[in-house]
Amino acid sequence: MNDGTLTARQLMILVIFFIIGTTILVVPSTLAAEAKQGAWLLQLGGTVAGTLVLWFYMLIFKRNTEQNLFEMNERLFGRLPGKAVSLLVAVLTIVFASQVLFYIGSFIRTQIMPDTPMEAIHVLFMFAVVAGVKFGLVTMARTAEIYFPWVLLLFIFFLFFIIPDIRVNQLMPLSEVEGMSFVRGTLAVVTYSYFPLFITFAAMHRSIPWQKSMQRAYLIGGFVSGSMLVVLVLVSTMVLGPMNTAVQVYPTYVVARKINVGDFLQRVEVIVAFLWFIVIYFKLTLYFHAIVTGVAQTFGIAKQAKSLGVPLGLLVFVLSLYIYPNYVYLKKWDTLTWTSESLILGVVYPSVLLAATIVRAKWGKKSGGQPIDSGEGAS
Amino acid sequence: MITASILLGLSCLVGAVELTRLWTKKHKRTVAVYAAVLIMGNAMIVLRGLGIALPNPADWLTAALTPLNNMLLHLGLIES
Amino acid sequence: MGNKRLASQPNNAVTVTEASSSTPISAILSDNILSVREGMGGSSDIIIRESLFAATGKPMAVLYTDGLVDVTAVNNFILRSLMGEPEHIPAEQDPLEIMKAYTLAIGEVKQVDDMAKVFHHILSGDTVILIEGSVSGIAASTKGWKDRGVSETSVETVVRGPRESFTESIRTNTALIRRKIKDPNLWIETFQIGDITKTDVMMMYVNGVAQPTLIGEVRSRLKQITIDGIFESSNIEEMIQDQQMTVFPTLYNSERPDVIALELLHGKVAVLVDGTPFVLVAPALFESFLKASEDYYHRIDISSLVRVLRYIGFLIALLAPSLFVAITTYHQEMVPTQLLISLSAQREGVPFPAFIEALMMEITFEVLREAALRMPRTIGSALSFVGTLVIGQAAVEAGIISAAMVIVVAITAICSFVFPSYDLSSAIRILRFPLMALAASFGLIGVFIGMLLLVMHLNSLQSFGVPYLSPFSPFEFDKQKDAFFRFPFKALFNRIRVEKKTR
Repeated sequence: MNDGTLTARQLMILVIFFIIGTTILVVPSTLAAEAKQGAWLLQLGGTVAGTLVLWFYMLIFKRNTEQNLFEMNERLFGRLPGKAVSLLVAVLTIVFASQVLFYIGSFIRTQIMPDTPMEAIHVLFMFAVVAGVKFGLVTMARTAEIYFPWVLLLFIFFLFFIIPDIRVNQLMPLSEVEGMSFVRGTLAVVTYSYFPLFITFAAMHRSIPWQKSMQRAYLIGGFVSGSMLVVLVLVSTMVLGPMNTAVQVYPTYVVARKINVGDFLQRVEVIVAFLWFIVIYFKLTLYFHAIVTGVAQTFGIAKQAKSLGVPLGLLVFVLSLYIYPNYVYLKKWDTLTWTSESLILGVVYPSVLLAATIVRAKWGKKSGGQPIDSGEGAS
Repeated sequence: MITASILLGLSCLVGAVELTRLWTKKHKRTVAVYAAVLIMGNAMIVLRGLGIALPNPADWLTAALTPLNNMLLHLGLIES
Repeated sequence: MGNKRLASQPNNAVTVTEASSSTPISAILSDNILSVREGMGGSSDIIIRESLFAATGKPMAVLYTDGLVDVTAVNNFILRSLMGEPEHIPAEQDPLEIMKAYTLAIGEVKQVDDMAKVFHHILSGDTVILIEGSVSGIAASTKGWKDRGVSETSVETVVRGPRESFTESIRTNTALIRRKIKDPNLWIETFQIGDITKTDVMMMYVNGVAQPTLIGEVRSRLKQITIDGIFESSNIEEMIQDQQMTVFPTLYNSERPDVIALELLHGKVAVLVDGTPFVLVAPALFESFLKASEDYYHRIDISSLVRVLRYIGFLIALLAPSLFVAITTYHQEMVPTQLLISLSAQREGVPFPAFIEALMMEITFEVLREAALRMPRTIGSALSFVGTLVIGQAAVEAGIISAAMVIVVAITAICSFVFPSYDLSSAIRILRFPLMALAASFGLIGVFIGMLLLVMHLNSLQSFGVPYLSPFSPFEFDKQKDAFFRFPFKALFNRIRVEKKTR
């Protein structure tokens, strides 16, 4: 039953969910602010760049099979320095997880259930996340597999019913995007969606046998999710207009609100919100899985990782209550600090790992390490 | 305050159950880590319930990454 | 009391418990007769007919239980043939051999070597023949008790398809299955489970279609059951199912031979228990409970649609009350305005919040349902019909409940009967309440989280090594042919087997 490995399909679905994750709520407005009606071009650029970034990560995955990120740290940097790095990554992921929890919590609080206290929603969600990690990665992957058709269905439902409200002229004039703007936008997309993928997916690396089908699924997942986001940005621009999109906190939700079919099917944005819930749930659970695995690995209790779910969940919960004191802070942090550290965790860190892997491979087998699979030729 | 105490109670309850289970299975180190994190979490909840402001790790990150932030701003890769 | 099981060979071996009285048969006939009488406490239904074996002239005794045997067979084929003068006997031979080879005109005979087996055979409806001077006896099969007879099933009715159902006699049941599958590869393994009841339990499978690992797994689980009595297949089910905490059943059961035969062809293993018409099937996945044998007897289009209807019915039965409570409490904006107005008008005079209303209605309905089961048939239907109508109507008019709630509960109840499995609908009945509680506390978010946890729980279950949500969950494309829709037989019947995931 629980062989402990994922299928290619499950991997693709997890990648899609992860990338769409919080991005779907927030990024369209950033991009619209940046390039107005050219926002979708930025997203497209980001998708392409992002998929390349994923491919780059795959190089590292392929060369270090059978080990998750934290074991890699210890192997490549030495035991103690490795543990320090692992702990740092885990702690950083705790911060990210609490941010994601905040995002979904504030979304629910402000848009759907304003009377419910923040703590209650956060606790409910966190409970489900902890339960998910305790059930195990394979169970979670299967659940994602089951929910995937529904996500697709909701997405299509959303697009279908919003068609009457689309005004293509809001896309004009096309390609008025200047170079720096494009770079910024692409960077924003990649930092939000693609860079965090490294630490999260590397943490579950053990469960992924990297044959060709897996690699293909992984990359397809990256591209498909990006494309879905392109469509969403397009729709958002065409329905709300670039100015409005830039100003809204949750532009895609506002678009969903406009669905009005024959005066009967209205106010069904909650159903579309389910889409957001599902993808964010899985993003959060994947983060949490990385946290639990990382902390457990650091302290040498890898087998009992699941038991740490409750206390670490508590920690993430508490942090989520005050990690963003207010909206201004959120915007500033997300643009500045997040970009910096995402670059470090998404570019610098993997590059170092890759370099270290290649170096180690050249020195042959070392004591305390496993035989290294040096992948297929040079990168 | 109420939410804080409920959460506290629940986490201690769950903690007790899980810790006894782990202890009987001789996973001493896990018990230690679990207890440490649990205490940390509960302390934070209590402090927050009492109204004391807690240090924000996001701030630490910002402080640590300030040079990089400035560089990025300078490069025009991000705009505030 | 020590209960050891002897090693069981695959074909038609009988596993016998070593009771404390595994004394050998004495060569002195009267001793044996005495020990049988004493062992049974002089029960008047144990008939011991003493006579002389015509061939050798030695005393013999014929022992049987009145009521369990076909008396005509005993009289004609055993007594008459043993007491009648044989034509042509070689001299100086083992009397048992003479009986078996020349005189005893019965089909199934077995040799018995100790008292425990003598008791067992007498009490199973066989006739035991003991002869002076021999430490072995013969057990002849003469089973013939009153059976209910093969009749129509009351629980699993069909519009089109065979109407036969199993009976309480295990031999009749195996025969009914044999009539469906006339292949020599249909094998039966027999066990005796239950220290005091010594119930016959048989395992049937089609050799070559069922996976050997599955067969071995079922066999080993059956063998390690230790219990005093087995009365129903559910007792067995409880003891051999995967030990996981869940409300969902992991073994399927049916009263109908055609259903079981179909499952056997799919590579599953059937477990028959003497004394009950309900036969178990292992492994059972989630989709098994949402299929009915009728799907294969009707045309493809209607079968596929009805199947989809069943899945929808499942979701409605599970979620309707919760969704209603969530939407009317937290998300009124989702309801079309007209409906909203009439709903709130209805709820105007109702003193309870939606959740309490729903809870009361659901509990009332559950009570009614259980009561309807116990009522004698004559009063039953009238009372439940009138009762439900009156209660529902009166409650609405008294202003205790709103009419919409009655409708919701009624739809839920009806939908829970849409799918054929009672076990699954029980699971839903239980799960409805926590979902309602979540809906009442957190609205649709609560329902979402509840469903998420439910799906994850289902994904973590397995039945004899197969993930419970196959073929949806580890998505096997070729298995989809029979899951939601029913594709034509040409596509289906190429050995749809249940596979166990291997590393």
